[in-house]
Amino acid sequence: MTGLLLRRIASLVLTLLAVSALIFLVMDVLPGDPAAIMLGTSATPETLEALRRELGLDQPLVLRYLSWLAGVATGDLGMSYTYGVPVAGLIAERLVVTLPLAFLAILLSVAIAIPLGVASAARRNSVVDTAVGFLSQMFIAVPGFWVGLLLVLVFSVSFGWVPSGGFPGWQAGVLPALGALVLPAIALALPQAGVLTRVTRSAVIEVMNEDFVRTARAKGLPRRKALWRHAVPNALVPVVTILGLQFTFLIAGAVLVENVFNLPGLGRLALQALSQRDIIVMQDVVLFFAALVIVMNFLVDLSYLALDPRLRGRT
Amino acid sequence: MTQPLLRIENLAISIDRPDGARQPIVTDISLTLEAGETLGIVGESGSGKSLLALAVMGLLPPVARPTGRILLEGRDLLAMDDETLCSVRGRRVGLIFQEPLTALNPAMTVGDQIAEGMVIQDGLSWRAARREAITLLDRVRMPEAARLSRSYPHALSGGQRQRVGIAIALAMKPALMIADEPTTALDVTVQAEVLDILDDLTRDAGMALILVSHDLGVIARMCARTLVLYAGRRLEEGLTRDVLTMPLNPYTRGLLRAVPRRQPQDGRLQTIPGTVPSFAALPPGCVFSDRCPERIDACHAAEPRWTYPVPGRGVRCIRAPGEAMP
Repeated sequence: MTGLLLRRIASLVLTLLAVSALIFLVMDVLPGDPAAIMLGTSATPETLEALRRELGLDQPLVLRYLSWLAGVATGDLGMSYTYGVPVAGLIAERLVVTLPLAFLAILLSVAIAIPLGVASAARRNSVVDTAVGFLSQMFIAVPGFWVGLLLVLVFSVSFGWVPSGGFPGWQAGVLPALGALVLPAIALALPQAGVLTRVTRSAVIEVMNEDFVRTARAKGLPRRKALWRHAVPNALVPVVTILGLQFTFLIAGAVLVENVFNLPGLGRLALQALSQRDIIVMQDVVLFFAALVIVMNFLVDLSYLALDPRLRGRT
Repeated sequence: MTQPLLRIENLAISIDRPDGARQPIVTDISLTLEAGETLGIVGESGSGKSLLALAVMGLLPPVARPTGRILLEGRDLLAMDDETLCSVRGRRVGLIFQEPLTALNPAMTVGDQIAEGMVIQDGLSWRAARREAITLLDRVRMPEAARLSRSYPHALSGGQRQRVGIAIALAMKPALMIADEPTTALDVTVQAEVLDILDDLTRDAGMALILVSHDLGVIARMCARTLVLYAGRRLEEGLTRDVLTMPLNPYTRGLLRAVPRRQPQDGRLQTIPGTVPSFAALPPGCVFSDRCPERIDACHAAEPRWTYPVPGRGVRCIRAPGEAMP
């Protein structure tokens, strides 16, 4: 078991290294000179050259990569070209928006998908099943940012229940801050919930036909208890797998949704950095996203051990 | 006359086919079982014996349509709603499944799987039920019962898993135990021990036992009475020793000849020629007629009635003694 953990952590670090190299290469071949953008069109070649030297852009590629990597390893993510502040601080202050948003979206999609998927599996080919099938299909088909706009129109513009965008900050209180995150979280969660509902349904249907569910019924467990105590726990492995994969789309979705709702999150930071060729911020944010996804998948692998006792014995 | 523990009257089960037609599977089953009695149901795969076992548990799949009556302690299981059935399952009838590998939940400790019924049905606390589960594991001769009760099914051997299966069925002390091919999936050496355990425990508790098997040896060892099924019909019934020593139906004789012996008759294992016909393509008249070595033309004319040539013996064959030859 510890052997398995160590192996997984080692592969996690290697993956991150490979991803960091890829990110650095892609950023390097992107057109646009950060120095030229920072100084504007009126800059003389001499000042441009001086700035490039100051930013270290005149160094060879490998050296620049290694010094970035060394910085990241020691927690120094560099200075933003446009903001002139440490990138680590920028990420930290955006994280308090994006992380709760992503967490809320996952929570919502699970809270929607598991009951719907199980209900639909339990009453296969019934009206409930058809309705859930239709609903989940719609969730998947409709893009999240469009749902976001629609939600703003209904709940902010018409009803005025929650703000249409912006973020008051956590210092304004937990409730107002959560209120600002609810609509974007729903917009993010619905497409995920659609996919997850279908996965849950098919996983539960498969497990429901297993002999051990019949054993549970033979003990005199009512249908509902046999379903929730025996079928559902054994159907969770594929559900958690999909949940882990969806996390990637959640991050990508956050970039869009944060812009629709004007939330000062990591996604918006990435977009702004891109338009201003703030390469160091881009590199750091993309690496951070990659790290999040990799760590999330690691957690999914760990959760298998909790869900399936058969895996615990092996190392 | 006191009421028998189980009385099945004219039970027939048909299955809804995907094309909407109904396919009769089990037809015309009637039997009685007194408390503490042992009955073996023998038949080849596809003879409807498992469906019969599930019917007595009230666990028929939704596509199955039963008719007739299954009276357990006087109450008709086929007329009960699921809630009432739940209070019967486990407490009055226990079921042991064929496949010990798939019949246990891989994500729950075996102790909890044994304890669960007692908690949910009898209202025991988990602590008390888990203690009881360890006692039960002891009684099915599980080594290190306390430790193994906390392990998951995958850590146990096939024989140990089937002991857990027996402990689950035994937990609420049902009056009737149904074992559906309980040893088929086990190694021969383990089979004997599992049968021993089953025999001892049902005898000690005065439980009635219905043992479903294709193995006449198992039935001969365990059951006082035997019912022979073929294509969903009973072909012969009686005391096991009578049925095995003086079979009245050619099908039973065929089954007996097919039991492997130490001295093979002519060096080859005897078999019944042909295979069990599919329910959609039964021969006209007697269902066994196309494979029967003793058939005459009249066998194809009409399905023979169920008759009692001798008190306590039932048979379905026009050539059986006591039946008028046409």
